[in-house]
Order: sequence, then C-alpha cells, then structure tokens
Amino acid sequence: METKVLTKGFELDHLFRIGVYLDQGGYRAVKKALTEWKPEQVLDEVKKANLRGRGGAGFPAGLKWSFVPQKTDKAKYLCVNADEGEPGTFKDRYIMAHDPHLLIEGIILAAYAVGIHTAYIYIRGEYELIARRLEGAIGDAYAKGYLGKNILGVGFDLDLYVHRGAGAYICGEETGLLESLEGKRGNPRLKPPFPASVGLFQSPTVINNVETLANVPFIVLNGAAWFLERGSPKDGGTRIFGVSGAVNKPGIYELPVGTSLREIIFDHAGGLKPGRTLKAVIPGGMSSPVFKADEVDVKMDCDCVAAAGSMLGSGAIIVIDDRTPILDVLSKVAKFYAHESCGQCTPCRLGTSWIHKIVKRMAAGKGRADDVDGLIRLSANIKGRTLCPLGDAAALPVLAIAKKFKAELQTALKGSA
Amino acid sequence: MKITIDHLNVDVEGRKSVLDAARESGIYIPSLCDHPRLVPFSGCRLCVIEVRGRRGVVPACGTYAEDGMVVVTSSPSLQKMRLQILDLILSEHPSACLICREKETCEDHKSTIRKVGEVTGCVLCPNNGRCDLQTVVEHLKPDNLHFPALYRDQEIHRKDPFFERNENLCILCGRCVRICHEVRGASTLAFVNRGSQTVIGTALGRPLLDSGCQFCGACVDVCPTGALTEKTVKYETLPDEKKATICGFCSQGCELTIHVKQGRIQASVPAENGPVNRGQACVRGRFLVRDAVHHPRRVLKPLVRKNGRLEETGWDEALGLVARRFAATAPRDIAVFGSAQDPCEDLFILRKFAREGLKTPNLSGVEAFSAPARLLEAAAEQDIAPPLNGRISDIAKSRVILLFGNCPPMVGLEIHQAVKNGARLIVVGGKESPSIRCASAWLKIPGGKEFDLLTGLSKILAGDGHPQNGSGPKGEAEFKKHLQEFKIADAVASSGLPEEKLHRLVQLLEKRRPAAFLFNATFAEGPGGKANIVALWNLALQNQALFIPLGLESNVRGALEIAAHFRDGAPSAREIGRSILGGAFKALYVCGHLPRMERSPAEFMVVQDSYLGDAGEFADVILPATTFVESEGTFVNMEGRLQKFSPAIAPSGEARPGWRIICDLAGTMGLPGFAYEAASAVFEAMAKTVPAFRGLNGLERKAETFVQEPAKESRAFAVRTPSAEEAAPLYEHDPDRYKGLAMSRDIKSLNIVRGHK
Amino acid sequence: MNREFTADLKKRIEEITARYPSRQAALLPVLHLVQSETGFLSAEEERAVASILGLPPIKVREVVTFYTMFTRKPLGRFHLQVCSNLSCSLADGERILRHLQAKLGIGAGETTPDGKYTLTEVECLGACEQAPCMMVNFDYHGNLDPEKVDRILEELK
Repeated sequence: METKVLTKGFELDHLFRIGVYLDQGGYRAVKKALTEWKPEQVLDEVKKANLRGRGGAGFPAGLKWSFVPQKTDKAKYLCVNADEGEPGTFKDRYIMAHDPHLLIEGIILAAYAVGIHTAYIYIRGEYELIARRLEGAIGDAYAKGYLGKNILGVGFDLDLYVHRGAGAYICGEETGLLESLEGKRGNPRLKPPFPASVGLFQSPTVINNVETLANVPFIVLNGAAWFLERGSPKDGGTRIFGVSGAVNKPGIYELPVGTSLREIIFDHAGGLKPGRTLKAVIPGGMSSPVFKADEVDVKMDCDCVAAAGSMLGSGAIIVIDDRTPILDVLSKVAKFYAHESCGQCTPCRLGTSWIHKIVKRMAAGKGRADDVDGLIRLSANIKGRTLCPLGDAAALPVLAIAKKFKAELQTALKGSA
Repeated sequence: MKITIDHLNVDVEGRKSVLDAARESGIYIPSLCDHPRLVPFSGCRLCVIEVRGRRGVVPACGTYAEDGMVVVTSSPSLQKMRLQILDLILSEHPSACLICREKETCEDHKSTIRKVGEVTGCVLCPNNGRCDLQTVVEHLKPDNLHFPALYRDQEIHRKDPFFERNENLCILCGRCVRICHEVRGASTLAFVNRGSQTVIGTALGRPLLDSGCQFCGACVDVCPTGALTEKTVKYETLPDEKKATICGFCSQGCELTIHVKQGRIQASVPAENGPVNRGQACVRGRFLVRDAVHHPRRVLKPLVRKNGRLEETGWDEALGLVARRFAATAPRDIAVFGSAQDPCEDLFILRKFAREGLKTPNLSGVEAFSAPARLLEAAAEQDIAPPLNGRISDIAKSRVILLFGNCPPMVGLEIHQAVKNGARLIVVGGKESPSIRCASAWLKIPGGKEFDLLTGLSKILAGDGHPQNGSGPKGEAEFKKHLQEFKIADAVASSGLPEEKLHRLVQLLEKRRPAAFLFNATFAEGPGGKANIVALWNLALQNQALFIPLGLESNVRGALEIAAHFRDGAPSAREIGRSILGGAFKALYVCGHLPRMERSPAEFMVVQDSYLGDAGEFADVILPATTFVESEGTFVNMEGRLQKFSPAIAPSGEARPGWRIICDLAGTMGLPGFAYEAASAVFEAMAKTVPAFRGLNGLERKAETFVQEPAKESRAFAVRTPSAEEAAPLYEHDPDRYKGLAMSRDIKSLNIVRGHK
Repeated sequence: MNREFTADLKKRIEEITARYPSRQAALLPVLHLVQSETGFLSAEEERAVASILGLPPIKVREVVTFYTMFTRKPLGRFHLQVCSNLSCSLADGERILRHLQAKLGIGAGETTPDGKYTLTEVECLGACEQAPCMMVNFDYHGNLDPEKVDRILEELK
C-alpha cells in the first residue's frame, strides 16, 4: 500500500501557487512552530523522529542541527542541497516543481530550530526553470509574510535565496557545495572542521537535502511518533523512491522507509518490460554498489541496505535487465566519475581516469586478460583514500560490478580477444 | 600535549598537523603537496597514516595532533597504499628513469642528449636532483609501475622571464597555486579545468607577464618536480656549496641562500628560516643576485681617467693619485657621500676617515634623504623621540593599516596576512602595486596634501572633548588647540574626500585596533613632508598605532645611526648633499650612486662602486668595491635588526671591501688609526664608539640582535604646519637600483618585467 | 579592450551581490546572467566580471573552466543536450544521440555551420523517469524516440 505524505498533493494543479498551497493547509506547521513552540522543541521533535538525510549519506537531520553552536557571534547559514546530480535521482525535482512551498516551509522550520536568518537553495544549474519557479514561490512567501523580517510577528527573520550551480556533480558533496556557493571551484574541503562549526563564509552552517527538509513540516504537524510509524524505528517516515531503467512504470514512488526493493520494482514500478528479466539493480543512485537479481529482497532503509553491502543513498533505483551487457553499465559508471572528479586528490583524479581508460579499452574489444583484476585493484586503491566521498562513490560501484559480474566481464574480454 | 608517533613519544605545542609534528621529530612521511607555510591540501594522499581509534587511514597533513593520539606512519599496508598512490602519480609524470635498473650507472654512461623538448625521465629533466618526487621514489622504492606514463603533450611556457612552466612534469600538488594565493596574495596562478584535465593556468591563459605576476619565484621554490624551473639553473648540476647571506638590495634584510658553483653564483633562494622573510623573497633577491654580481658592468680593476678616458690601472697607482689630490685640497673643499647600501663597517670607516683623516665636516649620504631620516629630523625639532625598532611581523597583527606610498615586498606580505585575517588596508598615494590589490580603499591624494587629511582625521577622532588636566600625553593642550583651529573643510578640499568619508575612516580607526601606519620617502620628502610626519605621528598617538617609516636601502638604519654619531652640528647632511650636487666642493669621494647630473660636480671625483654607473661618467678615479655577496659585514634592517653576513664567493677581479679601500687609502695618505685587519675588527671599534652599536656583538647571529635606542619619553603630541620653504626631494629612491647598477635598465629580464605594463 | 556592462546589467549584478556577504559568492549567478546575455563567456566577459566583482581575473578563469555549463565559445541558438548516462542508455538513449548526429550532420560538441544547433552529450539531467531525455536550452524533453526528436526540431524556430 502506498502511503503518500510528501507527494500527496502532487496531482493537484497549481500546488506551486501559494493560494492553492494555503488552501491545502499549507504553512500550518510554520504557524504552529513559530507561535507555539520554542526552537528547541522543533529540534527535539525532528531528533525524535529519526529523520535521516535523503541526499545520500543518511545522516540524522536532528543530530546535524544540534551540532551547530547555539551561541555564536557569527551569522549562521542554512544551505539546501538541491544539486541532485546523482545519476538516477530526480525526486527533488518533483518536490521543487510541484510543491515548492513545502520545501520553503521545511526551510523556515529548520532555520527557526537552529536560529538561522539566511538560507540558500543550491540548485543544480540545469534546473533553471525549476529555479525560477522556486524564486516565484519565495516571492509569494515574502509577500505573505512567511519570509523576511519578523515572520508571523514573532520576531523571527529569514531571508531565502536561490543559487544556481553550473554543472558539477561534486557540488552535491556538502563542502564542495559550500565552496561553489562562495563563488569558487567546487573542490571539497578537508574535514574536520565540519560545516556545523566552520561552513559557509567560515560560519556555522546546516546543509540539508530538499526531501529531508520537506519532511519537517509533517513532523511538526503530526509529531515524531506519527512519523516513526511510517518508516523504520531508526529511520523514520516515507521516502520518495525514484525508479528508472528497464521497468514498465518508471517514476517516483513514495513508500514507507523499509519497503522491500523487490516490492518497489515489481509491485509499484510495474516490473520489467515485456520479455525481459531482472539482471541487476542499483539501489540508491549510481554510486551505490549493485545488487544482483537474487539480492533484491532487502528492506529499503539506510541500515538494511548497508548491511546488504550497498547503500540507500538518494533512493534512486536503476533497474537493469538481462539484455543489457554489464560492461555497458560499467562504461557509464566509469565515464561519469572520470568526468566529475574535481581533480584535487591523486587517487580520485588519476584512479577514475584510469578506470575509465581501462573500461573504454574493454568496451572497444581491446581489453587485456588482467583488466578485471586491474579494475578491482584500482578501485580498492581509491576506496577510503580520497579527500571526499566522491572517491568511494566512484570505486564502490566498480568494485561491486567487477566482483559480482566477473565471469561475464571475463567472457566479454575473451570474446573480444 | 603528547602524542605517539611510531612508538616515539612526541611533545607537540599548539595546533600542529601530525605531518609537521613528525617532521620536527625527524620522522619522514612521504608527502608531495604539503608545505609548512601552506594550509593543508591533502591532495597527493601519500602521507596517509593510521590513527588508533579511527577507521581507515587519514592524511597526516590534514590531521591535527590531539593529546594522547597514537599514530602509525609506516607499516606494510601503508607502504603498499603509498606505492599504489605513487604508481598513479607516476602514470602522468615521466618516470622512465625512476625505476630504471641502470639508474646507478647512468650518470657515467649517459651521452649528451639532455636538452630535449620532451622529458621522458629524470636524466632529461631540467630539475634532476632538485626534485621531491625523486626523494619520495627513493624512499618508497617501487620495483614496478603498473601504468604506462602518459605524456600530456602540453606546450611548455617559455615566454616569461626567469622560469619556465612545463605542465608535462606537473603532478597538480597545487603548492604553486597556494603559495601564490595564501602567502603572496598575488593570485596569479590557479587550477584550470577539472578532473584529469586539470592544469595550472594563468588569468585568461596569458603569459605571467600579463597576469600581474611579480616574479617573486615562490612558486618555483615550492614546486616538487621540474614543472617550474629557473631558466638559469635548468640542466645544471647541483651547487658545490650553499652559503647564507643577507640580501643587500633593500631595507628588509631578507636572508638568502647563495648556491655556489665553481666559485660563481648559481642561484639565490630565500632561506627557509630567515627571520624576516621566512622562506620568501622578491624578484630581486630571488632572481637578480646572480646577474647583478656577475654583471658585465662590474668594475674589476681600479680605473683612472687619462686623457679623458677611464683606463684600468693597479690599486697602488689609483690610491696614490687619490691620496695626492686629497692631500692637495683644503679639507673644507672635500666632501664625502656615502651609500646606504654599504655595510656598517664601510660606513663607519668612511665617516671616520672623513672626520679624523680628511678632517672635513662635509659628510652626506643617501640615508639623509630617507623616510626615517626625515622622521628623526622632525622629531629632533619637536623634541619627540619615536621608536624606530620594531618587527615587521607585528604588521600582520594589525586590524587596520594606513599605508602612504608603496612598501617593500616583505612588508607587503605582512599586510596581506593582516588583510587575510580581516584587517582593512587604506593606501594613500603611491603607484599601482600588489598591496593595492588587497586594499579596501586607495586614496589618490596628491603629494603634499596628506597633512590636511591627517589633521582632519585627528580632529574628528579627538571630538570636542577638552584635555583632562595633566593626564594626557605631553603637548596635548597645544595639539587640541591646533585641532580646534583646523577646519575640516580644508581636509575635504585637499583630499577630495567628502566629510562623511572622513568620518567613516575615523570610525574604522576607532573600531579596529591595533593599527599600523606606514609611510615611505615620498610622503616624508616632499614639501610639507615633516608636517606630514608630525600629523601622522599625532594620529598614531591618538590611536596607539604602530608608526613605521619605510626606508629603502639595505642599511639606511645603520647609516643613520653611524651618521648621528659623527654629526657635529655643521650644516645638515641634506644641505651638504645639495651642495655636493650643486658643485660646491672641489674634491668628492662618492660611494655608489649619485643622481644623474649634467656635468661633473667637482674638479676631482672619486667613485667607490662595484659598477661603472652614472657617476662614473664624470669620475676621475673609480675604485672597485665588492658586492654584499663577496663581503663580510653587517646591515641594520628597517626593524633595527642587526644582521651579519659572510662572503659567499670570492671578490670579482680586484674588487675590495669598502672599508678596506678606505683603510688602504688612509694608509697611502699616511694617516694613523686605519690599520684594521678584518671587518670584524672594524665592527668592534664601532661597537665601542657608536652608541647604537654599543656592546653589540656583530659576529654571532645566534639570537636576534637589535641596535640600541635611546630610552626617552616618546609619547608627546607636537604641532607643525607645512612650510613652503622645504625644498623638493633631491634623491629619487629606486628599489631596483643596486649601487651604480640600475637593474631595471641593465638587467634584461627585469627590464622586461618592469617595462611591461 | 575592456567590455563595459550596460547600466541595466550592472543593476542586476548589484541585486545579485546584495544576497551574499561577499561579492565573490555572486560569481556563479553573475556568470549565468552574463552568459545568458552574451551567449558565451569570452576573455572580455571574464575580465569584466572580475572587475565588477573586485576579483583577480584568475578567480573567474578557474571557475569558468570548472563548471560544464559555462561555455567559452559561442553555442548554437538551440543547445541540444542529450543525456548519455545509465538510465537513459537503458532506454536506448544512444539512439537519440546517433539520430541527432545524423540529422544535423555534426558530432557531439559541435555546432551546425548555420549556428542554429549545438549538440552536446551530457551526464544525468535528473529526469530519469522520462528516459531517454534531452534539454533544448532549458526545456526538458523526455520519453524520446527519433520521431519525437524530429517533431521537437521542427517546432524550434
């Protein structure tokens, strides 16, 4: 059974208009929190709800907020990660296009909870039209007094701006995003210090994914217990799974956290296209290690997917059918990360580049007998040794494919030799 | 705090990376991107270590020591990891020689195939032997490489002076980019493109000459490979020896390391631990020492004018001629003009010779026309005594800086650090310079108009408050009265700034303390210069600001202290200087450079210089002196820091140290009291007589030594208004001049840099 | 030669810079704005942007060359960006690229001689449910097949 929370209003026409949104009960959470709750209460409720990040790393949002110092003489910032660059991921686009005020409401609540007065939505540059829609919605929210000075007369100020990226996957990494927002190359920063203490413009900063924030109004309205009921105990709420690839009904499916991968593919997304069978699934965006067809009975929450050797990531499920050679999949993975490495650290810059070179020669029929082992060695050399998570993102899927589909790749090598 | 590195207990003070802590304990961790002066980059990943209690590996450069931390820097698994990372690095760096089995015997057998366009291995690399990557390879000892080295096939940038950029040897460690940005504040180099396409680029892809590069060479010095190579050193074998010296080109006194090869200078690089420069230099210290010392204009033998032409001769003949002519001239008709680029020993002997030997009162020198000299003059007239000693590193601690005119490069670096830490820099006057790039405002107020601006600021800062009885500094009452009479409208009119802007400047000064005020000779020398100085001094008192006159020549401060000792109330050194140029004397003894003249200023002129310079045009005798690289001596830098230096190479030709030339001349003239054996003996004599040097030991530089300052109450306000009688500046200070050598004219590479706008 | 921005553009740039505590932070939005006005970012635009934001020109160059959406050469009037990433290729997205290459007679990364079209192969556009997809300037087009691509091209004026 589908449990729609975030996506419930998506079928409505013009939900992005503030009038429609208000008719649907919009901004009630903001009114409730700002007029009835102290900031700490919002924070506590979100903590109790075990809301985990929907962007990829799955870090608990409430905990992240609590790392920001309460008292500081610096400005604090909220950055909304709407970079959505992980291949296979498109859920945030839906939220921003259909229900921008839901995001704005979540932003106001997060800012209120942490004591932030300036927020930026960092949106990937390609989403130009959505950025305009967001700007329109923000303008309306200012006009209605939900943004700006003295919101709802409670003395809380918040300014919100949309900031467009310009085509760089690495800016989805939170410190790459901060650098980019500061007008620099999106090279990730060394951690520590973490953004909660030294973030945007050297100030304490919260960075949350769009979907993460979109959940906050529901937690405020319905309470943590309600939210936990809709998901797993340590991973509350629903998730918007984006399914693409060889299924009959690609699209977004909002389901309780913990729904099985098999159910999502076969019940919700309509199973595979006629005449095809399941070969493999990428469960959480391109950087998550692949599952083979017999590994899809996994509950889709952060911990279960991790226990099964992959990661829930952005909840982007890419379904691969039996007609697709695994070398094709590998080629796409290799090409993408070689293209997106920022170039700062050696293992990533050169490792992704060599993976790409080797996979290209395999695809061109010029592979060498030890290329599959070479790929395994190379990706193991990248894993855990890079400056930022992009190295792992590049290495883990290659490792998984090379190990799980070694026989097929070896056959492909022999076939070409 | 205590940490454990490979079972070794290490005490760590302050915030320090594990890599730095290990370095200081003599533990080598391979690393190619880290540099002690730079913010950790963690790019090369060679410095991976294990920290007990942490998962996986972390880079030692980006991991800060914490009390009780237990670190493992070498283990079989770390070694394997590093080899794998090195494997990748070498896949885009020519590596043929690194693992060649014949590497050991190569040196004996290689033929003359070196100067090639494409570098495929170390023996073909212009930087062979000066390469950190080679060091890492020697440490890790890879026996096999798993990837073929791909040659990037990028064009080698050879158009710029001093050094070449070869992207094909670059490992993208980013040290050059970071030193240019973090330390030099120049932002000339940067990463361009992304991922495997990344290269080090310049603004708009133009040559460095068009990119605002100052050619300080900091990027070359930190490059771990041959990607940045000094042109004159490339393909050269390593130096025979390295000798320390103090740069003689300007008043900062940077410590340089001279690389000596077969008795000649191969290169000069900034000393990593130089107390003033801390591993940095400017284009002059970094690239011009060699060219200046071995310049074709060097005078290698004494020259004597015969039949209108200068001809080489022996020392005896030249000194004999000078002795005879001086002996035949009345003392009051002889004048002596010193060079503030000469060491203290030379200056002391020169003045002693003039006073006690020639018995002439006519002593002058370049230092008389400097910012600190003007300050001392103004101070003497007003009976105030501003301190001259200080540390330029204190400038970096300031939160607001007022700079009048241009500043020397190391001072510029301190200013840049201050600005990076949030300070505001206001520049008044001066030419386009690197410092102006980090300034919040550049006020282009015409020279001589600073007085009104400063007094206006003082007036606003003082407000309407009346001085409290007796509690304020001396002179406060008069000063307040002076301010009350001053009209802000005058400050507005002279500075061209609206009154509101003046108020904002004052707010800046009030809110941001400490402050530093710096001024150069242009501010101090022109008409109204002394009034400027006094006005700035008052503002500094009101604001408790550092007050720093920027002298230019390497030994201005030393020269001033020595001159003060020999002063006897005769006409001032400035007036004598003017008279010299006006042709008031019959015989002249000039050290170094004099301003260009139309005709000879005297019947008989002796020039003691290392170069055949402009003054040589009219000289009757030229006595060849050594350069600082060839001499022993001491300089007192702009901070008052006494710095000794020893010869790095033997004198060129028959050149002699300045002090010895004078002593020899005195001996020829039969004058007693000039039988010094060595520079150190001269210093000892000076330390006995000149107050500033009293009790100092010039021979040892174990600890920091500063010249003595009179302990006198210095906190007093003064009043001085500009007077039109003060004459225009006589002497134009040129930072690119070393004695008779105008480096921006006479050295082609600098000529290109300076001529290029 | 130095490029001067129009008064209107300068005003819009100042509106952008007002959103941030540092002028440098406005660099990406300002580059987007300038590129939308001029079509591409030449050295002149780089210099002008550096000057108006008070940055050394190198700070603009390093950013312009980092992000794929900034272009240093003129693009066609219609920029066709075809996704070649996994979800699209699982829906036979390569067919779309091949079709466009054949139809326009240009390769990926090239512009037609009449300056009408530029064809670019791009990474995931975030519209995987409509694979295969492409962007024409900033408009998304999904569930493509060669016939649909032809219709889209016909409608482009």
